[in-house]
Amino acid sequence: MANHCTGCAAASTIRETFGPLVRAAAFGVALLMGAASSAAAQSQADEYRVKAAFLFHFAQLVAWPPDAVLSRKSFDLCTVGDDPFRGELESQVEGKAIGSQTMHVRHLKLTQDVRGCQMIFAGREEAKEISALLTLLGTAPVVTVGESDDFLLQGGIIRFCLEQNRIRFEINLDAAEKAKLKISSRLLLLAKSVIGNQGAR
Amino acid sequence: MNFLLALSLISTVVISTAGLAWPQENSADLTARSLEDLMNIEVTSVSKKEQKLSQTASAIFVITTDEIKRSGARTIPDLLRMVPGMDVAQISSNVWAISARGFNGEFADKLLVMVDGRSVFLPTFSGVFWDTVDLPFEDIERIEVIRGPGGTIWGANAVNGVINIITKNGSETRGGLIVAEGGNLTHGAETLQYGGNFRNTNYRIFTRHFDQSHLPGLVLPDGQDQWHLWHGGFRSDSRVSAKDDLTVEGDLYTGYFSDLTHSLTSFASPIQGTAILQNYVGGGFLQTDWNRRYSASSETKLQISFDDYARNDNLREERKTINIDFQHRFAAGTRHDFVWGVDYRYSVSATGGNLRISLIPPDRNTNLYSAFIQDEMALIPDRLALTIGTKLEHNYYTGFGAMPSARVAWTVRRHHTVWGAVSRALDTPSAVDASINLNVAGFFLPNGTPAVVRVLGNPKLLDETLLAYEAGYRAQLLKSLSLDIAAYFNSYSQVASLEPAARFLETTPGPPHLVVPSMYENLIKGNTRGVETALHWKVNERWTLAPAYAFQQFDLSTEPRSLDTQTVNDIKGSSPQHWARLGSDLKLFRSLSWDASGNFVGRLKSQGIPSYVRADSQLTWSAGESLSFSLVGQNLLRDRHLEFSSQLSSALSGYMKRSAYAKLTWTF
Repeated sequence: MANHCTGCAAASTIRETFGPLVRAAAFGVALLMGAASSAAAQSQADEYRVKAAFLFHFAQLVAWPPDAVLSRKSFDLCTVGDDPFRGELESQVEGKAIGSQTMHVRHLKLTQDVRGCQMIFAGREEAKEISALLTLLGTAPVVTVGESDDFLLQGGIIRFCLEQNRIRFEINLDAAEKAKLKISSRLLLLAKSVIGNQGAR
Repeated sequence: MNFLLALSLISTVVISTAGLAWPQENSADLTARSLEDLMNIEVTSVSKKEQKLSQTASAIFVITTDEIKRSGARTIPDLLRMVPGMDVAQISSNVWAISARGFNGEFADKLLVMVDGRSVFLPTFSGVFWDTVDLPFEDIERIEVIRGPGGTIWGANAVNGVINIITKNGSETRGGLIVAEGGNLTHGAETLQYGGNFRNTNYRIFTRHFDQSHLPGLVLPDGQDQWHLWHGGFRSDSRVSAKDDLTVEGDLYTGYFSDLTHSLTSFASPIQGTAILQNYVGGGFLQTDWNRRYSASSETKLQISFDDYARNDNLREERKTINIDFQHRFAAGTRHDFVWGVDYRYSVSATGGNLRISLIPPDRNTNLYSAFIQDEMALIPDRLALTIGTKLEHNYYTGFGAMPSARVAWTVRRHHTVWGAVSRALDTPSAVDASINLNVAGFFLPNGTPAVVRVLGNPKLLDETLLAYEAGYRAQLLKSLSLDIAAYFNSYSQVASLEPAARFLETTPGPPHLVVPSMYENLIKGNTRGVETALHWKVNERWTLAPAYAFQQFDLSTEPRSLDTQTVNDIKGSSPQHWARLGSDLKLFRSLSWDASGNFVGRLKSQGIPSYVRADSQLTWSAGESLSFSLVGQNLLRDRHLEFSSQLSSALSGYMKRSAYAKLTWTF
């Protein structure tokens, strides 16, 4: 148990620092500190704005089996349930070219509507829907991207995670192979971890 | 005027900062960047909850886990002091007056308080005994505070505000926890907790004790208001199936506290006296929550709770309550999000009472049932939402009442939301309102006959009704600066007044005495209005400032036939007109942080309490994830000041004094 004296001594020091002059001076110094460091601040951006750009890169660095691509002009990127991008996907990727295809964003209310999607994003809020979604997809050539803790263990292919407020991702190679998807070595190199039979890193 | 100085300082700071440019990535096309580049961008995250909150059409404020950790607060009422415009006043060591948007008092009856959706609001006097609203702070995920009515979902008594304390899921509190604190007011407080998991269940179990010292009293140097509480509880969260989640939680507590009261002791001489009451409290609850998700757009919640409490104070009440609540949320098409629910509550109360206070009849069993429906319509998806709904509730005293509301939220552009709402709320009578027999004071007539001033409940009392008009604006002005403004115009009718009734001679208990009674009647009406503003400014990576200011004004009057000259003044003079706060959170080094706050509270006219500034400070040193040590100082500016002193309080007020404590938190 902490003793009395330490607490009271601290209180009197704090009381002194609360004198109006000291307070005003501290405020001024802190203000300068604030202005100085904000000028030197690093680049910051909204999480989902950056994740939208990641999805675009994923689409370029994954090879789909030819029969899955040939039949379609549009590359459908789908979100399931709650859409955390709030318009960022449309503004970042809609209409961009992925090989011979054009990217098109679709927001699905129900997991049942996944037909036609080449990449599916299921956000944090949809953690409970994931096993149903993956069961529904089976071995269809669809890149599943998620955020929940056990997304890869449940059979998802790419999982976003944050490390010191920077975006990282993990890959489940087994799941990718089952879906007949080839993930480029560049993407595998950048992944924070890769699980699957080609040797975990 | 301290607050004016603070405000002008704040506005200067804000204006001078607005000129600074922040490097932002939001205008660029990020897909042109390489993956390596993207991996280097620091991202700012807005959770779904925050996003929802920023678009909510009500004056909601959330106290987060992090803010709780840094607050230096010892009690839940202390935590609520950071909510813009919240009226938090401590009466004595163990008694608080807490309200929002006026009508404050020890028995403030217009604020609904819940823990994990279970009401801890007591129907006896429609208020909360804050001394038993106790939780280990480490287990609180967040506290959601809504200023303004919430009757459409939560029912009667969610009139001026709703507080919901939400505890953490078992998966977030795995491992051991030891918290120990001590200081000049808290002689000791300890929490022991263990959290683990078994198959698909995460659980925790805790025990807690604290020993709180007395404050200097208004009439005696020792206010005799010390209190002690032992508290143990558990929570378990199970994933029963892919669709079903089951939460079971419960607790038991027992404690004792003293109160210094000045009241009627007999009808003979000495008719009044100061007495120290030793009160025992005990109780507990058990609650289960079953959530089932049918699909992403349909889910149900069933909550069943049982609550038992006994309080050995003047009234000596024992109450058992069972509550069953069912809610179903579902999306209809892409535009409608419906939620509807039914609720049933059965409460059994038995009271003892004494010469000072009793209920007539002393025992009462009450039923409460209600149903509500609400539709959130996306008129323009993610831009314009209209929420309309109503609750129909039946209570024991006044029967059926409807609490409809309409709310609009317009997201003008990303991070800028304007909202407005019109709602009706009801404050239904409590057991005290309907059946109290309170002997407030005694005196002798010139001829030597004893006389007693008595407050009588009125079984025919009607609901107090509120029609509230609210508007607000929430904006992310800069990457680092957000603003929240809410304004309200509340129109009340049928508010309870205390009307003199015919005097009579009472012979039992003897000796014969004259009774000067007054009785509750619904004869006050009028309106209140106010503005609450809050800024959240992340000055830099290390420093956050949170200034807030609130203003409120009451325009209430009695009906012409009323003879009550006191109540209106009491209501007006028990809440401050101006309120301001500056909170600061500074990370000094990687492991050392300093948090400080100053609250300005305007004077309480009817109580003769001058305005004051209260300053609290916390210095925290963290050794890694598992160990932290903090030194906290509270009420640092002045050693003796009153926060609240109402004639209607049961306990005599105590002076707030300068205090300090040290706290050690160890997780393993």
